[in-house]
Formats: sequence, structure tokens, C-alpha cells
Amino acid sequence: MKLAILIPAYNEEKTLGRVIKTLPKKFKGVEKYEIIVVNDGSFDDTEKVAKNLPVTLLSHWLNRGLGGALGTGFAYAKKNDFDCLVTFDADCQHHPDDIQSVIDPIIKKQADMVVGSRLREKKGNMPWYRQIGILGMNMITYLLFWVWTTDSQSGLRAFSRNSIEKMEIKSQKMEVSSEFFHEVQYNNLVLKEVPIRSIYTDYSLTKGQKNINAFKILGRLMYRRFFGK
Amino acid sequence: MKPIEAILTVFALFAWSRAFLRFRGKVINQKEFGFWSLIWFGFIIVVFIPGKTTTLANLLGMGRGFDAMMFMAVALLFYSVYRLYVRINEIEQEITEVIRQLALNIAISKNTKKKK
Repeated sequence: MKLAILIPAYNEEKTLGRVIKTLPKKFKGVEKYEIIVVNDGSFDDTEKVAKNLPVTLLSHWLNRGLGGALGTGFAYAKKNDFDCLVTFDADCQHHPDDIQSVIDPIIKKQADMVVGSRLREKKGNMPWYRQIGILGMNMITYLLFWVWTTDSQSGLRAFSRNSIEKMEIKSQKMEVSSEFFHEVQYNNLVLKEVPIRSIYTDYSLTKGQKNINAFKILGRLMYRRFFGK
Repeated sequence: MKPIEAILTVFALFAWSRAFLRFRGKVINQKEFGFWSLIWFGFIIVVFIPGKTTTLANLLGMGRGFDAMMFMAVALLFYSVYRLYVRINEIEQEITEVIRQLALNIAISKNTKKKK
């Protein structure tokens, strides 16, 4: 199996190097893997850091948002015939050992998309207000796309080749996290969840979604739901 | 001429002059200029014959001409905002697609060089 680990990065010069260096050298069931970093128009030294690492670097000249960055990664994976794609955050929020957990169901052909859920077993130190925000987004995702998940906003996800080929990412910004579930429902894909750890530091708390963005995200998701394909 | 008629006429002429300058600067074409001329001169006519709008309102089942005008103006504004939102979304997607293809082309050409 050929695996791609997709890391979208926007101004992550402080953590990108550490994230990549701590990734496991091998995964069970994977013959070879490639790390793809999408530099989303960063204005710090993210690109410089990535150029000195053993990764494939895709650089956006302008910032397009998380959705734009993931869409570019998906397009690369599609062009290069990857069997599995994992999305992984660049801010040290995920534990590298959890990658094996999310790809196992793909390897065993049990799912087309696997979500690493930080709330399934609540391992880690996620603040209570983030948990409330995620619960809110889970409910919005369910109401709009009829797919229930315990962690719609998780950045650690795995996709099978079937998903890579069928999913069309149109979201530009953070609403992409919920859009994946629209694609699961629209394309009749099999979804599975596995528990993962969440690691929050002062740095990573400055990243990610803020609860106050919920209304903007809701508007964009409603537009996607009712006026998209 | 009442003061409000004068103010509204000056405003309409000013707005029309903006459209004229855009037409002269080839920012808008003849059809668009014709459309905006119709709107602003129609506006001036309505300013001087407000009673006629009540006749139109009665035809639509509304009591006052002013209410009918406001209703149509709000409906038109909602539609314009919707169209703008759709267009902005399309442009955002087009920009992302251009940026994406540039990024992919550079990466793929680098990978090809490495394999050689």
C-alpha cells in the first residue's frame, strides 16, 4: 500500500520540523509512504523549514485556507495514485502513533474514511470550551449532512483510494472539516471512527477553530449543502 | 419644485453621471449604460409623479405607492446580494484552482527532475 501523509501548514515554522521528525519510519501494512506538506501562503519561514526536510512541498503563493490546502493535497494524491491518504496537523496536536490506528481500517478495507476522534475515549487534555465547540459542530454536521460523528473537526483522518478519487473539496476554509461528511454521505462512503489522543499546548490553542467562528462556518456549510452539488 | 424633489433629482443625476463616466471609460458597455440610464431617469420621473405609484401599488394589491417601491427595492437588493455572494464564491474557487495548479506543476516538475 502506498500512503501519503498530508500536512497543511500555515505559519508553522516553530513546529513543522518537530512534527515531521517524530513521524514513524514505517507503518504496518504500508510498503512506502510520502509526506506531503502544503505551505498555504505562509509569511514566516514555514517554506524554508519544509525545503530542508524529506517531504514533497506544495506551496501556495496566496493563503487559501485549510480547505484550499487539503484540496491541493488531495489533487496531488489523486495524480500520484496513492492508496491511502492521512491528514495530520502541523501544530503537534496529534500523536504520531495514532496514524497507525486511523490507517488500519483502510488497510483492512473496512472503511473509506476514518476519523480519529479525540472525544470517543477522551484521552488527552482538550479544554472544556473546545469540547463544547466540537459538540456544536457535530450537531450542525448531523443536521446538514445526516452523518453523525463524535469529532467532526478532527485533523487526523484517513481516506481510502475510493475516497481520494470520489471526494470533491470545494470549501476554502475550516468548514472543510464538516464538508468531508457531506462527501461521505453524497458518495455513499463507509465511515469509521477510532479513538486518538489530543495534545493541547499554549501554542496549539492559538491555532485551530475558535467557537466564535461557528456562525461564519455555519453560513458557508448551509450554502454548500443547499446550493452546492 | 419641492426641496425633496430637488434633492432626489440631484442625487439621481449624480448617480447617472457615475454610470456615464464608467461608460466613457469603457468599464461598462452600452447595454449596461442604457439599463442604468433607464433606472435613474425612471427614478426622476417617479419623484415628480408620486401619485402614479399609488395606482401601480393598487394593481399589485398594496395600499401605498411608497410601500410597493420599498418592497420591490428590498427584493431587488436581496437578489443582488445573493448574486454577489455566488459570484464571490466562484471567484474564490477560481483563485484557489490557479494557485493549486501552480503548486502542483512546480512539485511535479521537481519530482520529475529528481527521478532523472
